[in-house]
Amino acid sequence: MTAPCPSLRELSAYLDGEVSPGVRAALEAHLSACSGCRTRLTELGAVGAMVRAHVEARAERADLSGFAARVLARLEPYRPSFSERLRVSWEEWRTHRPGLLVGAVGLATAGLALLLLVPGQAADVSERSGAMVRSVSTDEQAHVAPVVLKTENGDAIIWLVDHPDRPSLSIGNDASVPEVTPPSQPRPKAGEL
Amino acid sequence: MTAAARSAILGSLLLASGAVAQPAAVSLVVEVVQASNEGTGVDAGLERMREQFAKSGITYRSYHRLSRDQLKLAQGKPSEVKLPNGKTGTLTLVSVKGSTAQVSVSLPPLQTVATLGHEGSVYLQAGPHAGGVLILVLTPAGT
Amino acid sequence: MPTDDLTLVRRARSGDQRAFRLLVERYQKKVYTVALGMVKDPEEALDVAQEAFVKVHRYLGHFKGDSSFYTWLYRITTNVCIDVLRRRGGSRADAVEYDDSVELDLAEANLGALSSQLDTDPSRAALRRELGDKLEEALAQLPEKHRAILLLRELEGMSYEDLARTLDIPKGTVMSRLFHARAKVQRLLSGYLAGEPDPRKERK
Repeated sequence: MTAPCPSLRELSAYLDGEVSPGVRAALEAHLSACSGCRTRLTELGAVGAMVRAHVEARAERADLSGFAARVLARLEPYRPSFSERLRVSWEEWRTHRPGLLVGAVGLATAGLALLLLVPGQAADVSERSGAMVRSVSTDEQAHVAPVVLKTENGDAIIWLVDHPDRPSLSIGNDASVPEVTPPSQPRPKAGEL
Repeated sequence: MTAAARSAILGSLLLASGAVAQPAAVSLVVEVVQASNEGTGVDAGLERMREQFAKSGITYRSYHRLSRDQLKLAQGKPSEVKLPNGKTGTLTLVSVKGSTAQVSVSLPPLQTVATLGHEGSVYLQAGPHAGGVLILVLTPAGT
Repeated sequence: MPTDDLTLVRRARSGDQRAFRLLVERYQKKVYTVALGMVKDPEEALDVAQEAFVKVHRYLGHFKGDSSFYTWLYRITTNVCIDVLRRRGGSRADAVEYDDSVELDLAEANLGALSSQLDTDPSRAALRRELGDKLEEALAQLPEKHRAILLLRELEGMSYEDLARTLDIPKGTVMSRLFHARAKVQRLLSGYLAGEPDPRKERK
């Protein structure tokens, strides 16, 4: 006595290996005895095989060699106002590197002033409360450049951004902190392995 | 009173107060904070940090204090702070002038000399760690 | 040994663009293939695939890491595809979800016709061109969500569990949807193979 033929729905689940061992055993017992069901099963499977063969063949024709680069180029620019600010300080830093941040750049943005100090300003500094940065530098071959930010309530933040000429690992940069990009140069690509 | 006598008295007063005898020193609170976008917790006492950072354009969602120590920096004697990402920060007191202290910090690849007054902290980015960044925070003790 | 997805994601989240690039390179072909199956046009599929990765990058901060990156990536990809298809108009989202007559039709269908169309080596790329076109038409007639589930299952071999997570549906729904998608395509193709008249047929 053969069990009734399973529904196509069941065969579909069996095809995907998603039936319990008990059901599987019963199905296989039935299939071994029922050529009609074997055909139905094969037909169902043929759909998937055709879809796969057809779509993959078409996909093979695509040239994905520049894909990743294009994705990177499309990544959202970080908040431009901040990028603007940093770009200015970066230019300052570059022209007077290494080791010194020279000149003061006041930027018209709430709560943010880039404070770049020259050694020897000791006299005025001592009268002000709050932290000040006298000098800052990074190692010669470092992939990062320092940026000094002064906050509203007198704190100083020394942040590191990607060195545009030696792009590499962004050191812990949050998505909201942009890479500093000198305006005249094309955006550097992320370093290769 | 003769000049000599005056300077002798002054000298003994100075010695008594210890103003000349003691080398310069400064007490700092040194914290290691991890900032990241994972989670939204801001530890107690770090809300001000989060706010100032956000106003400066650096926005992280969570700030966790990994360590907090009070260091007494003696002039010319470096103190080391080991960070969980393997880096070591070296702090050296350069000089004290009035109520401000100049502290040199070496935290590769960064070197800096900062002046700390009565109040105000210095935050130094110390590299990535566990999905976020580490920040070394120096604050004058007693703030 | 290649770095695992979650490590790359973590690094990418803290700003490491190299790590993000590695993730893109690891999955670009697969994402593109699924997109191609969904939107059909290769140029559009490229655009969709890029858009998916751009979105991944934008929302890296939201990725909890409690699900696999893989299913999250495909969820984004599928959603971008569905958006594109809906914008095209003629959305099949309102089409009858389950066509129960399918099972009856199949009982009378030209059994065996489909599998005999496959080359003896089913992994060979070439299907007869016209059959390929018919297959495209059949896929196009599926509601977007049914097309998506069929493609993800067949192209990626995704388990029901992963499909459930990717499409945010219960496992039972996975089974039904997949079945109906397969059955519908089979019915449409069987009809063609049996020589049923096709009102849209054009002589090449």
